[in-house]
Amino acid sequence: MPAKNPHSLNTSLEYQELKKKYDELQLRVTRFSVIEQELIHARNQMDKEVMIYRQMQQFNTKALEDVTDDFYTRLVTETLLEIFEIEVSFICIDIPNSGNSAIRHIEGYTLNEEQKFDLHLYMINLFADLPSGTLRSFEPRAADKIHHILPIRHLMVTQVRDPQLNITITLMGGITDKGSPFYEPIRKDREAAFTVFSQQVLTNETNRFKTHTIREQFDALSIEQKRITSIAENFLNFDTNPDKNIQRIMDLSVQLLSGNCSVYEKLENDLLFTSSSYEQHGFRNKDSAEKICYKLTHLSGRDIVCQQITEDLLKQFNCPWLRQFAGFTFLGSVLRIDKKPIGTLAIILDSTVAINDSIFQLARILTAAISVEERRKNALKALSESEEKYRVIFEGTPNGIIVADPVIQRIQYVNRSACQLFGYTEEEFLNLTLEDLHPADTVEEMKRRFKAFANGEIKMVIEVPCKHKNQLTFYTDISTSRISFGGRFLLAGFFTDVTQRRFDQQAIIKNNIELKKINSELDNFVYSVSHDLRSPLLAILGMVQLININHQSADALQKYISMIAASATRMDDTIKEILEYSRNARLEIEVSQVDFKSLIGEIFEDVRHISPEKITLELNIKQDTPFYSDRNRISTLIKNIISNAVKYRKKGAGNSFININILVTPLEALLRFEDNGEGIDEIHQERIFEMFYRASNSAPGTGLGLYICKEILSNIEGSITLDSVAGEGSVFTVTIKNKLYNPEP
Amino acid sequence: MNKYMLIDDDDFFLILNKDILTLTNPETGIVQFNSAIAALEWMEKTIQDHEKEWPENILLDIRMPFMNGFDFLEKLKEFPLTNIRKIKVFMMTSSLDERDFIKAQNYPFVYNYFTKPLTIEMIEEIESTELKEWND
Repeated sequence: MPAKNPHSLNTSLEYQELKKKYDELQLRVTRFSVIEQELIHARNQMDKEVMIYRQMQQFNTKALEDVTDDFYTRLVTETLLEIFEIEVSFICIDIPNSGNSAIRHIEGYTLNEEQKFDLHLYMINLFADLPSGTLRSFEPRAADKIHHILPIRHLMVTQVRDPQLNITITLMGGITDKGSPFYEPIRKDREAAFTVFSQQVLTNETNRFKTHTIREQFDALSIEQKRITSIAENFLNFDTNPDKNIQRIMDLSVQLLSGNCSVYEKLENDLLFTSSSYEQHGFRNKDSAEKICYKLTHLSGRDIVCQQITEDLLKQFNCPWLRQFAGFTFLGSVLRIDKKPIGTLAIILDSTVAINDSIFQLARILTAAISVEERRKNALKALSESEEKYRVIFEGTPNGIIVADPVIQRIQYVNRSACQLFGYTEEEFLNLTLEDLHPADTVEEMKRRFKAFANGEIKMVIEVPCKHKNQLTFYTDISTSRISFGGRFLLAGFFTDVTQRRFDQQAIIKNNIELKKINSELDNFVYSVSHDLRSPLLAILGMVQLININHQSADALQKYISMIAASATRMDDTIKEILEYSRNARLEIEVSQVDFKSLIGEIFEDVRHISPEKITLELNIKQDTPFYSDRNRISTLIKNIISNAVKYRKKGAGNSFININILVTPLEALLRFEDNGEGIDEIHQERIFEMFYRASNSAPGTGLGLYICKEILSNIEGSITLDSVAGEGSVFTVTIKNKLYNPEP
Repeated sequence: MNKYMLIDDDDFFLILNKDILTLTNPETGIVQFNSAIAALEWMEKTIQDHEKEWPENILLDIRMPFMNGFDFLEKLKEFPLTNIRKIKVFMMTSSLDERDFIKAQNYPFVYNYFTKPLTIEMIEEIESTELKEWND
């Protein structure tokens, strides 16, 4: 059966088929193995790559820490060796205008400064005109220039740039001629990593640069801030004396500008200011400083000059001592007031000081500050001169002067006379107001006047009541003028004390009234006296005429003769009363002890004879203490009262009496005279004490008696009152001061 | 009928004047007062009493207490004109003051001004003085 033996028939065919498939498999295995090898290799490569990037990351972490430039460049080069398994590496950083372009670090080999410079130059040339990121990998020949500097058999170098900051980084890795044969050239496939690393370094470097710049700016700012603070402190604590301030500005200049010393020369009067360190630096004579200032600024014709002391300059100055400052920098700034140069500020700067705008600015500020002080000095001088002039007038005048600010209503200045006038010290005065200077009831009026003075409506007011510190009132004439002082408008008041004048005037007015009264009294007196003296005389003439007429009876003749006698007596009485009046008015008061009892006894004996009828006198005296006064005046006083009582008794009644009660105390004597005479009608009582006033015609009289009584009492400090009823009697009450304790000298 | 009225506060002058008037003419009727007030009271009473008349001549002292001669003249002006026109007032004074003399001239019923004492010559002058012709 063919079907029973298909195997044998087909075996060789099958085998061949199998063999063919086996071979194919074999081939596939081999291929697979190659692929596997390749895969393994690729994985290894990948691992290496990963490691490289990991190392790069580690580098970044380290680099980002706040490290020094040296550490950073060493880190870069060391990382290069490590990552790319090479023998030598260097980093070169170019930052133009910073003076910092150079091979920063070289790892794995040693170069001197000159070789480093050459290498740097070579690198610049190598990448000239090539775009950033260009990588060059080559094996220098022995004749190549680089080979002379750095004997190297293989190198890879790249340059990356930051166009904004203008930073260029050149990194190189390589193997020296003498390097171990185990070192392999950097493989092509590492080129990308090299470039990436370079970029990494550049990024780091730009960050570092930026940080650095910011820090520098910050430092500069804080220095500037310190300067400003220093200026502010110094300027705020300025002295009242401009010279002291100028000295401070000089010292400040040295401090702020890191200078050695400063000199300020004034043109106008050869005054020199120098900083404290001036003498230490050899400025022993004025000429030297003057020369520096003058030649540096005025010869150049510029306001601010900054110049190094060079040999040429020294020759020009002809100033041997200046040689010690050779190499130093002089900063001179001309000081002007109203465009006119008045002097120069010169500062000798340390050679390390960087000259920039800020320095110039500072020098200008300091110069301006001195100029301000100079101006102030001139102003103060002018002020003190005019002040002196005004002070002499102000203080010398006997008038009180008060200067007030009408706006704030405060007193600003007072002179010595005003202090004396009002009794306040100058210090007290400055806190006073109108209320303190004038009596309360005139303050409102004074406020109005003050306003009118301030407005210039009135210039003078006379006899203004003023209040002294001791509260007493005095009077002044006030005149004012408006003055401008320090840009303010002030009111100056001139006070003249007129209290005495006012007092005198019032006394004169009073005296005038008195004089008029006296004059009219005198007139009246002369009229009355002439009448009263002539009357009895004319009566006598009339009687004589009658006597001369023939055929007069003896009785008639006798009557006329007795009338002549009576008239003569009357005339004599009148003359006596006038004398009494005159005596009281003219004689000095003589104080002596007064014995009322004996005095009244004597008087009564004298006057009782006026009356043909009997008159009873009753006298009661209560006295524990002696009484002192003017005895003669009191005698006249009592005599007038008693004689009135006798003269104006109730005629024909026959029971007339006078009761006198006297009480003497240490202070006064009280005398009460009571009679039962004709009394005085109420209509006459008010005028009874007037000169020549007569209330009754029942007895002859001049009208002087009670007037004299009143006048006497006003002289010896006493008073008199009357209590009377017409037809019943009168009571005169008299009080007289007892001069027991204060007798008149 | 009383021809003279004497007004003087000084009793001596009243006596003197009365005596000399009596000596000149013992028949002369005289009424006398030592105060002007008393004189006025009498004059008022006299007007009411139609039987009596005022004396023709009044010798008036100027200086008297309380009511003086001029006060009296002022009071006199208040009396009816018919009465006043029938009297002649003669001022009698011891004063030498001209002002009194001038003042006295203001009164039309004052006819003359004499300085004391009253003399026979003055009485003759008074006697020869005639009443004014009054025009209304």
